[in-house]
Amino acid sequence: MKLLYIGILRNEDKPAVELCAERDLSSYSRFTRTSVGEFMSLFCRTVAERTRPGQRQDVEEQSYTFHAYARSEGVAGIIISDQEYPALVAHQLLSKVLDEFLARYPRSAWSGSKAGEGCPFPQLKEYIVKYQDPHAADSIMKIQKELDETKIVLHKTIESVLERGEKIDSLVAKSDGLSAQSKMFYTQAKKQNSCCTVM
Amino acid sequence: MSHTITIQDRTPEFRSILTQAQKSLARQRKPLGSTPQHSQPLLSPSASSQNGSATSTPPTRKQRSEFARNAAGIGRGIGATMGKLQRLAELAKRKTLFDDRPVEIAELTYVIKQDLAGLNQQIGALQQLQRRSGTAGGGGGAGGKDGRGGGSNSREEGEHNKNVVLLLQGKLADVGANFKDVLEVRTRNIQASRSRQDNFVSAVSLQSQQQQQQQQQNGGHLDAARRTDSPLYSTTTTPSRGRSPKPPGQTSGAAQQDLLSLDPSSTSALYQSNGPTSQQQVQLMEEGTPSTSTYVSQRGEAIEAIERTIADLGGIFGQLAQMVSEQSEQIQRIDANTDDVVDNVDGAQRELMKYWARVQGNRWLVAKMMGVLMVFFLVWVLVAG
Repeated sequence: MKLLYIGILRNEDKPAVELCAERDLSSYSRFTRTSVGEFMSLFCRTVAERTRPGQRQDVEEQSYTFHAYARSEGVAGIIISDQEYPALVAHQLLSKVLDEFLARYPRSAWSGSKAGEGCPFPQLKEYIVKYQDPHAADSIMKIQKELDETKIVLHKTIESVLERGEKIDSLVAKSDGLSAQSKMFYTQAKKQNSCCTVM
Repeated sequence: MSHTITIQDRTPEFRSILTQAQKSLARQRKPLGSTPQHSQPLLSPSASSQNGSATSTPPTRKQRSEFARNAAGIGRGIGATMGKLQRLAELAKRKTLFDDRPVEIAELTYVIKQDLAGLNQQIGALQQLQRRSGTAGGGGGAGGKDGRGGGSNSREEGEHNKNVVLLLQGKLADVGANFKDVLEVRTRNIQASRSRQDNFVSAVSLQSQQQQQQQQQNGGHLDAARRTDSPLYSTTTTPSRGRSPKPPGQTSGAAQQDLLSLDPSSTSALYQSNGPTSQQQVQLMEEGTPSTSTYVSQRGEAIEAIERTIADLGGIFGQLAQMVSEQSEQIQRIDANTDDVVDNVDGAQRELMKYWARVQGNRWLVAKMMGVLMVFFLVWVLVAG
């Protein structure tokens, strides 16, 4: 499950402009890296242009999935991942990233005609690294995983409690036998004393 | 919300009180040149420190009016926000189908949200200032050897500052609550308008029910307002909403088909909710919404799964507790048994000790017994022999 690209584009006017982006191309050989990066940018621009404001989309193409989310302010966030990556986590990450971006840069910073790459956004790098493992990064999935682990632990606990129950049963039986035997012992000792009083 | 919010903007009164207080302070400072009387609203910490020093009156006034200035600014901000909220409430109440202005509503919502956050921050800063001034004033008043009511002054001013801050916080909370109400009204109206739209289109009622459920789940959540705003925004941009959307080949339809070329299989989220046959019928209505509805519904499902897991865990804990309590009864039986064993063995030991003591002291009897036996043995031998 890999995240390959996170990017924010401006899709108000037709040639969408990439405002900031982070790529993780470690899985490609050094020779193909640049061309893959260019393809990514090209596809992202196309997808961003075709995503209407207020719309979320997942587009699949050749074993890659493009998750797109366009905001009504005129920016769109795009995540490229492989097909296993859960779409829910991708869209949550998109919402989060877009919120931070819009909070940081007001509309004037990027709505110029050729604003280009004037909006560096270093958190993208941390996010792309952190979200490589969606199960650890996304809060819902993390909670679900912890709950599942807790459930497994509880099942084991119940099994051990059942074993404990069995052992306690055997202990009860043994203690019953022991108390009966000790009673016999007592009565016999008393008999010893009571019978030969002559001597 | 059938009634409008009546705002009483009392900032001019506030300001007049402030100017009066300043004038009275100036008047009192001139003749006395010492501790002012206790009818000083918003007196600041350095007031008590400058008992008897007329040179430091300017800093007093500046610091006192700083608190007052901040409080006045916050009050003005709250007033302005309430005005905007009233406008938003008006907009939200309109139930017209075609004259809706989602852009304005969205902008107003955004602006009000920013205002609320900013006001919250300012009130927090004011509270800190009040706390600092309260403690400093109390310390200065207590340490002041004048005892001319300087201590009582700082206490009262601290209390007054606290009351001012509380009042502002209460007002902000009211504004926030009203904002939430307005957003709820807005989402309800959107649902109503969408259900009316559905009367023009067939086979969509299921989809709108899903929307309503999700919107009810997200009701009052600010994000939902923006998300539900956008589908309305996208539908208002399409020209032919009133007509029956049966005829294909709209501009949006072309865009849809272009997207199709990117994606050879029709598994994109757009078509997940409807079958591909009815997609053209509903695409005008649901352009924005299928993706958001699947996203929202997915989130809802994930959260429901978590809820179910937690309920399961609760059940398992209950079973565990029951089993342990059953076993405790058996453990009590074992305890009783072992106590019996101890008692019995004790008793037996006592008897045996008695026996042993008897045997110990019974040497004579043993010898006598042996003698009797020997006699019998001799008699038997004599008889037999």
